[in-house]
Amino acid sequence: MSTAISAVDLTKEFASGRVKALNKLTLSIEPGEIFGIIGPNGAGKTTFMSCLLGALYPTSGTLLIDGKNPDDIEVHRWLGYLPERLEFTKWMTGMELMKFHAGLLNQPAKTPDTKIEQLLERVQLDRPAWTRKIKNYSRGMLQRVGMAQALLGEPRLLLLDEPSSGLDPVGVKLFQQLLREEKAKGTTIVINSHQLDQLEKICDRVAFIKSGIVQTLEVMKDTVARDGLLALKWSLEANEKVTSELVEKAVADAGATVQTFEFPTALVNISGEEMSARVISNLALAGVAPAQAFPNEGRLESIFLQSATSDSRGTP
Amino acid sequence: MNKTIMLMTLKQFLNRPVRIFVLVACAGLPLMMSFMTRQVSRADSLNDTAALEFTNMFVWVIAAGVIGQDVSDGILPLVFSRPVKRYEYVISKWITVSLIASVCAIIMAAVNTALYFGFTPQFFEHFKIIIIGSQSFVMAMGLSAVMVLLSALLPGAADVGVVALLSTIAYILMIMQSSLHVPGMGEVSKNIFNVFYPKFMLEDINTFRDLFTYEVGRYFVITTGCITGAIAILNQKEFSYGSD
Repeated sequence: MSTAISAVDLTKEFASGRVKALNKLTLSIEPGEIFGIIGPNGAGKTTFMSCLLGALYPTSGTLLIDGKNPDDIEVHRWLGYLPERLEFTKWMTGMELMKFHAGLLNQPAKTPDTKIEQLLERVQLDRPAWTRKIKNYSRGMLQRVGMAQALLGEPRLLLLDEPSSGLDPVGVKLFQQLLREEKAKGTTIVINSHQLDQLEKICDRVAFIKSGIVQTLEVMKDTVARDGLLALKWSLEANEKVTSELVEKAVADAGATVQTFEFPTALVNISGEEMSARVISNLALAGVAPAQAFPNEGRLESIFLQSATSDSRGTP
Repeated sequence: MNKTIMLMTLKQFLNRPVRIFVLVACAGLPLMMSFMTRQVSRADSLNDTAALEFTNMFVWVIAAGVIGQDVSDGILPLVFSRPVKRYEYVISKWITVSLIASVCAIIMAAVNTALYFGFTPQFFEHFKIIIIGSQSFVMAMGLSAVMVLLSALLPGAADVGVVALLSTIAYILMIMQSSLHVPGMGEVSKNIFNVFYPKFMLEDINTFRDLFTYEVGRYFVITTGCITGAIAILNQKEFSYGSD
């Protein structure tokens, strides 16, 4: 499989080399992949996205998109981009913005109003908002029209910066669904986001960037099977039945260990989802089924926190 | 040239009510004064081609921040994420601003003539649409090329500030020459105007040979130099769309 995006020793310096936003970053993204980029503030994520967009020129190293330079006009014919700061031309209406971008794509004829309407409906932007000026849009509406313009021209590569920020839970679900649909079409999607729980649900791989280098690269299906914490919560009525001994035994039988128990909650160290299911099942068999069981901390979140507190070479 | 960018530039201007107000005031006040003078004394304070004198002012108002404002507003990363070449963007903006300024000059000339003659046969005799349209376009292309270059260099609408400042300096130098008789000041002033307001008069072009004069050469050198410079600056410009 050929590489959709390839960055080799990518370096970007600012202030005459005093600031290294990217420091020999090496990364490859496969076609049709949903790739997440996470990292603390100032890590170089936005600089990397700007280089992908051709808005910033690398100081050294190579960055290729389907074997072409990011500022190659050919790349921009099939690239969709949703910026973090939605600096759209605010005097336009949503519909005008869509037509403007269809015009910039040189395909107003191929993008009739019906196609634009379909896209606006797809992102569930309320119909009255289509003819309202963008300056009057809420953050969530801006995000929706931004996603609709990014999807214009059936892009092969989508660059999304904080796509779900400002969206309500329904909008978040919708965007996840849209991204899955785009992935099914073979679109490569790169997402820069701090919404780790959402990245966990949709990404194939996630890179943790810090100090301009890739510190860790996680394959999400492997990450899901990793160690984590399971939080259990019982209803207050079960006070008499749920004892420390019963819980510890049920947990131990599943191969896990209890980290803390203080009725009505317990934290259990687990390795993977199977173990998690066994713990819950054993507790139910012991007659102390928890009312709620959920991962105490997203697995990506624990990777983030672990990597963020280690030094730039990954040593804690 | 990119039709979509040209249309956006026009709509951008039409969505700036303050600028439209300034533009209408710039053209409306002298027209009103001229009209009132004619009512009182039958004297004509604005001649048939007076609108040409206002072309530079129209360019000032329309071209202010033509590129710098887009940079400051942060819309360019999204525009350039589309298959738009940066030179296309610069040239489209330049041509559109010049066209709008020329249309404003034509409208002003039409209103001036209509106020004097009404829509009579004399109107069509005195309304020199071709002369005004083509000469104002030449003038607008010159000044807007300078403003496009300054706008590519400076943020927001600072370009108009620089042109205004240099024009003021040139006027002061001109006054110094005429009232204080400081030698050489008039020449410096003239050169500043020649560089910042490049133009040549179409009425002086009667034969093909007339195209090869110093004035025409200077106009083309300044105009193409400014546009080439603006393209080079924009090609080098980096746009970061956010902060980590």
